[in-house]
Amino acid sequence: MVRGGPRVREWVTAVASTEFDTPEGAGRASLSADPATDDAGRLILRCAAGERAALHTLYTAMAPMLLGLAARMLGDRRLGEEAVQDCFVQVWRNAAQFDPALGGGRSWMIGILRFRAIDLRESERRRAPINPVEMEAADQAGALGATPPPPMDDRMALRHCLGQLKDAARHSIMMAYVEGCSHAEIAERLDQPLGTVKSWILRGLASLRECLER
Amino acid sequence: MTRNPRSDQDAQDPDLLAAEYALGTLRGDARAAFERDLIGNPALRASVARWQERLSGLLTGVEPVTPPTELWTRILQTVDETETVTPPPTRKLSRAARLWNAVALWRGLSLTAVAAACAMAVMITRPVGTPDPSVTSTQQPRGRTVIAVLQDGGRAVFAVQVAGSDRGPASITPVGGESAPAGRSYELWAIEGAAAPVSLGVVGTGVTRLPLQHLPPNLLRPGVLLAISLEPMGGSPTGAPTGPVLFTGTLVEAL
Repeated sequence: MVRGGPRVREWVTAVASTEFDTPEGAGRASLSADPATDDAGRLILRCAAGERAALHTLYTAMAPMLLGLAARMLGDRRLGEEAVQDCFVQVWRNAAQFDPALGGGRSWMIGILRFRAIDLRESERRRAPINPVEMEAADQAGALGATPPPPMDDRMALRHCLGQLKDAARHSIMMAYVEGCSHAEIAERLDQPLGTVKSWILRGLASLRECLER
Repeated sequence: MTRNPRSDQDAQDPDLLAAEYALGTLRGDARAAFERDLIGNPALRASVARWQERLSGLLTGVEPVTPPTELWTRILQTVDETETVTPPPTRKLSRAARLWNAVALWRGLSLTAVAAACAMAVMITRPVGTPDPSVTSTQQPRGRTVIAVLQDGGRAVFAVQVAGSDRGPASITPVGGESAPAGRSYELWAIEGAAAPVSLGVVGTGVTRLPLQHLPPNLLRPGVLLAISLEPMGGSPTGAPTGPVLFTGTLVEAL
């Protein structure tokens, strides 16, 4: 009798099991973003093997933050839910394309969510209102979020390097990344020429790179 | 301290283009062109991944929002819809294949993978109505070649062939150019019944030949499950699988 099905499933569970395979563990939802362990990356690879339980664990850990980000980028909770739904379906379908050697699972998923939100934003022509106070909080790059932030040294490095940028460059980059604004939208909101904003962002990214690679 | 970059140079710097792509400011035609460039350019993909990792730190101030319970239900429904079973070719499945179907359904495995694997295994091995050697035989028939098609959710990824007559090396042929991600290796295992997986070796790029002299005789025979796991470069350091199973298939007798 061929017993490939249950054997493989037991084996995958035994080999890759971690604390959050249990319902209690899933409730803790504490994915480590440490590249050395990359819990999210391991879960994504288990999704590639067809384990729905792994997708659910990813959902429990990542969905609240992703929904917060999507709702902010789209200025609309319902649209945010649509973006998150599309994101998890895409994570499931493309899990086999995730390459752990390139980067962590968390940032891979965030990338999928952000591209989807930007596409929805463009097609729905939604705009998220800018709250200057929120911008300040985001500038801190050290506030608590829903999922564990990157390891302390990466966080400190980013915070330091962001702080080194001129206000205009930093705000433009934040608007682009956290709000999903295009060059044109940033130019409109800051009442600046398009070329100026493009230049701020390009030079800001170059400065960030130079600072982070030091 | 920030130096003043020359803006012309920056504008042509592919790593900064990758940064803008990750940031989301590359739009329209420029974005489409960049996505085309990503294909077949692993260095560029690595740049994008590096920038995505860096920029994700900007999100620590984002307030989480508890999703409604229906959101997970909708995700699961959509995932299930994309894997609806296409009925296998209308032919009699062997008794072993039907048993496997039943067990896999009970365990909730991907129905497409099971149906496709069973259908393909049956198609390869025997016409309808012939006896099923995987059920009755306990030894690999001498001179008979056994093969397996290793699947990933219904998509054939590797074909494995073990020549029967002189216990020559097994050959593993990728279907469609699949190879392990950088820094990792695919390792092939044979799982017989409830026994621990036995390594057959690491799968290289292109057609791989794995010598089998060191293996127990009669390990590779119809009914034995083959699986490929994702391991560190060079294979598992422990002699047992350490990474996730990516592709599976069952050895069947080739005609």
